[in-house]
Amino acid sequence: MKRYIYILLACALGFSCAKTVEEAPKAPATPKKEALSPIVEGKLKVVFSDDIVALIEAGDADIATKAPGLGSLMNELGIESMERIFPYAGEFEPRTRRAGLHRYYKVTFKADVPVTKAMDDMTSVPGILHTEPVRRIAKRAIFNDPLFGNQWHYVNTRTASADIHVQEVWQNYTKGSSDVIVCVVDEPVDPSHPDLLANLWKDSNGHTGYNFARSSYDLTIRPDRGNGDIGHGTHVAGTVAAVNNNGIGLCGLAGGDAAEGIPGVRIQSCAIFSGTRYADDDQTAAALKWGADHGAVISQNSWGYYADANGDGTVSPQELASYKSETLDDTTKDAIDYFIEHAGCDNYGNQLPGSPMKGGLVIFAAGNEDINYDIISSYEPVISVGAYGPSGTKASYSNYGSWVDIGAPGGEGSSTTNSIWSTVPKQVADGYGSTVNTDYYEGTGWAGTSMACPHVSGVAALLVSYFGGEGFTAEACKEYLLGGATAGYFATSKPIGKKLDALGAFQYAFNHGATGGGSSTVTIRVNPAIPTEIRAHESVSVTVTATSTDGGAVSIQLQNAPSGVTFSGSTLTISGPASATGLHNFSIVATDQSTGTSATRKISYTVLQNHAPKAIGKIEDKLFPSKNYSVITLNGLFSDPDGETPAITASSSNPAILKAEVADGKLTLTPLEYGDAVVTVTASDYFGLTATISFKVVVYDATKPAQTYPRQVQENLTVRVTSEDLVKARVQVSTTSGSVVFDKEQFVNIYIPVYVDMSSCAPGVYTVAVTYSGKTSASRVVKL
Amino acid sequence: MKLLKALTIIVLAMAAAAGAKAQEQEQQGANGEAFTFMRLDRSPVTSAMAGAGFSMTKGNFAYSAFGNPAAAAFMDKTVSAAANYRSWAPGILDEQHITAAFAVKPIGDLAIIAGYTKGIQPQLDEEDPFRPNDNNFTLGAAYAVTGSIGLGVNWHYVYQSLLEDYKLSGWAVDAVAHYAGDNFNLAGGVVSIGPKVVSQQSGAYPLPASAKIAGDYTLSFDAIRITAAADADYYFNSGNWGVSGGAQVGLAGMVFFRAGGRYAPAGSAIPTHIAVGGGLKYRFITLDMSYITMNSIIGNSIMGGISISL
Repeated sequence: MKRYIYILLACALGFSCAKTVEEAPKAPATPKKEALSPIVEGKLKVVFSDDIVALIEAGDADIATKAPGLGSLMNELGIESMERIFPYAGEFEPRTRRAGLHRYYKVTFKADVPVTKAMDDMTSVPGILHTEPVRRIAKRAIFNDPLFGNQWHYVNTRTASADIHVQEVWQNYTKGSSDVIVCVVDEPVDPSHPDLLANLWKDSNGHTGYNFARSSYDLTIRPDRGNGDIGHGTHVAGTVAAVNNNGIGLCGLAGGDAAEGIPGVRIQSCAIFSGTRYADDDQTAAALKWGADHGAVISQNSWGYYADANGDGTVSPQELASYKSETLDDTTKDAIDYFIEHAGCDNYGNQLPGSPMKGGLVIFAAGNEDINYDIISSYEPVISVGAYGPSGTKASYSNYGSWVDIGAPGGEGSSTTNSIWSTVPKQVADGYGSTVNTDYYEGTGWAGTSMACPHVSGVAALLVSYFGGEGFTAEACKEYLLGGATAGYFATSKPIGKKLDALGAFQYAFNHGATGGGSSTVTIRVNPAIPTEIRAHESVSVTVTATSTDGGAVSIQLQNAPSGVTFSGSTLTISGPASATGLHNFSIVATDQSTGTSATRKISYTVLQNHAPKAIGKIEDKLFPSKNYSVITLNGLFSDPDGETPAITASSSNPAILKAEVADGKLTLTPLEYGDAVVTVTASDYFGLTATISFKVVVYDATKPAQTYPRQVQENLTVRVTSEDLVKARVQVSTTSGSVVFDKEQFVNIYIPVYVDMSSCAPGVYTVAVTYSGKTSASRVVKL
Repeated sequence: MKLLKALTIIVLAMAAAAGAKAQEQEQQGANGEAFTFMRLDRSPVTSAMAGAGFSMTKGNFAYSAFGNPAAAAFMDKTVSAAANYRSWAPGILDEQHITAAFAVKPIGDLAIIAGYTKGIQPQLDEEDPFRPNDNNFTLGAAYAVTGSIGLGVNWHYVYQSLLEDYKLSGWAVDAVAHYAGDNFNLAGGVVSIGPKVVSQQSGAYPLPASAKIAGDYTLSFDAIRITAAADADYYFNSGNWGVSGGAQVGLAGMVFFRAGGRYAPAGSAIPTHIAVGGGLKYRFITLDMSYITMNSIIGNSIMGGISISL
């Protein structure tokens, strides 16, 4: 029977984690990384009695005698300093002392003396009223993404027990790796979302996936088609791999760390919905398989069948019974099996070189009907994900049962503080036929096992990022994920499996012999991150460093570096001008010189096409009634589509009349003689492409009604009236004997001169008479 | 006779050469004639008659240097000298003309002619102090073949300075035959025949050469003598032409009134204009003046001169 699938309401966006180390082949005997102790050694907070405080404040050298217990303690513990925790408060010192805060001291002693011993010793000393250890604190917001604070589902400060402990994983182990590809089978993932762009998978043609609903590579969001795209796929993808620490938006579980130059896992979009909430299941199997055939090792699925056949919002006993009689169809089952078996492998079942995992994980949302069955999610090889709310209890809507493997934050209700925050497209359908504008991010109303599922996919992606490499299997990853989850957390009446625990998964892995850092001791850091697009005229320089956990020397080399890429010292330079336009890929390989262990960072960037500058302004023709110079500001006259600042030059068609010079963005025109010239201002970009603006300049003597030039004529004589209005003028040219060689009447003004061809005139002095508006002006010229 | 024959041959040869030159010069445009200032009247007598009076043999023969060389053959005095000044196109060109001429009849029927004329303009602009100028040196000779027939030839050396470092030069010949009757005169010949003027900047340009015929007739009424004169030129180079007509009224040989007019099509070396003038003679000294009105470009010009005949 043909079944329909539907989007499971609300999406949880995963976090993204940036790997601090790169994927590399396994290295021998990699030590387990220890977490930092929460108690600071060599320090205690101590509350003294007023008597002791008086001695301390007096700087009494006999303190050891006057307070014997304290004196011997000071020697035994090797106390180095004692200073007030609340410093002298100036005008507020009296009330500080009334509150007793002047008695709180920070006591520093020898670091090799255990804190517990020091506390025990102090407790028995008269005059010491109370001791406390000094605890280590950590920043909650390790990323600068402005909406990270809304994502309670990553760091749950309301119910500590419900926290998934992913922050510890970020801080100590990994934030994600671009070697890991997560296939999101869902609505299209917005290929232009600013907080996902850097972590989108692309094939050699730039496609970010495939749209099975439209049978094309078109993954654009369609918010306007009946019940159009609501942003479900984009929301899910953001939970897994929204870019972390890029100063915008929010975070993803395995989104890397943009500020550290660490890319996150890559999201591959297999769209099975396109402009609808429901879809046929005849393309879902192909979508599942497609991910395995295109490099994905995790298949994230927040969709499924539904029991509410009549759509009235409740599942009747009859509907439930009917639903429970359905089993998973062979097509979907085979596709799931295919992904699990073949993801990350070649045709012969061998792990592909460069694939972080042999085999794949298929993760499904359990469903939102609060029933104890789901057709797909209950298939044993699938990791089934139930949902819980901020308080840590099962979400009211979540399906449940012994077949649910793991519970993850999915939100409860529609309030902003209880929903799951993630990325959405700029425009989405509201589900009622209208299009809604968003600010690229949403939380309100997004709740469901759809949102819980990508939390599990994100943590799985972190595990693969850290432990992945040659020999790492999907079975091991699943074992770490489920083995490290918290058992017995949820009530047993409606079980939703163990509670997701990211740190628990890592600790489980370590405890079962897994070696961390992607089996590599070498860490590559690129600072700042290399942009995905480089303009043709620009060069980008970043610092590349590499360290090894054993402290050994590490060499860095480039592999398959295209032209335009150079590496010297620790500076990697990509020169746009020296590069061909288009997509380029190369790798940075760092090798521990003593152990031979290496790490590889793949770099991908596009050198954009260069475009010519454009003239966007105009300079009007100029009249100079004297020989005083003029300055014209050139700002705003040219633009460059590539954001380049073009070089500006200027030239004059008649340098003997007018000099044109450019300096500091200003054009200086210096008249030298009376006459006219055309000035051409040229903007040139790095590659010599140009745009020009031309205008005419007339230099004239405003004290005379007409001017003739040049004074020494070779061929053409220009006769120009100094009227800006159009007038009828008569121009006569004669020899000194009075013989008229040129006589013409025409309409002229200062821009329209009379040109006299004197090329056939014999050398001599000629008189030029110009008559207009009742005035006659005569001058002499020499014909050469 | 032999001398006459020789001179005839010379004149005819020059006429033939002028004809040949004329063919070449015809091909030039009207604008293409160099040194058109050579054709300006340098005598206040002919200037007052708008160029007519080329054939007149009364008056000062020194001006034969810049007019009819053959007229000097009929000098009735031994020495004749003249000088004049003209303000040419004042307010427009502001050109100053000075002329000095001399004629002497040392032996028999042979007369020697010499002259110099200069025109100088103000500097072209404030920044350049140089003043354009032109200069014409003349040396000529005339011979009375008979009591009525005279032949004359002038050789001119001309140079023009247009700029501090730009000068042009050339030479030209006037050759005229003259018949003097009792009450009339006829003269004809070629004027300003010579090689092209070469400019390094722009090529070679012909001179304003022309064929000229002139005549005059005098009526006497006691102390009053009225002379009517007419001249005509045909310019070989430009194909232009010009005709002048004028009259002189002399009272007791001491006071003279003159007037005349010239017509020439556009582009002619000397354009259409009218003129008036007069003279006073006392014994061997004559004062003459002329006032011409030309086109709006040149305006009005005045010339005054003094001549003596001994």
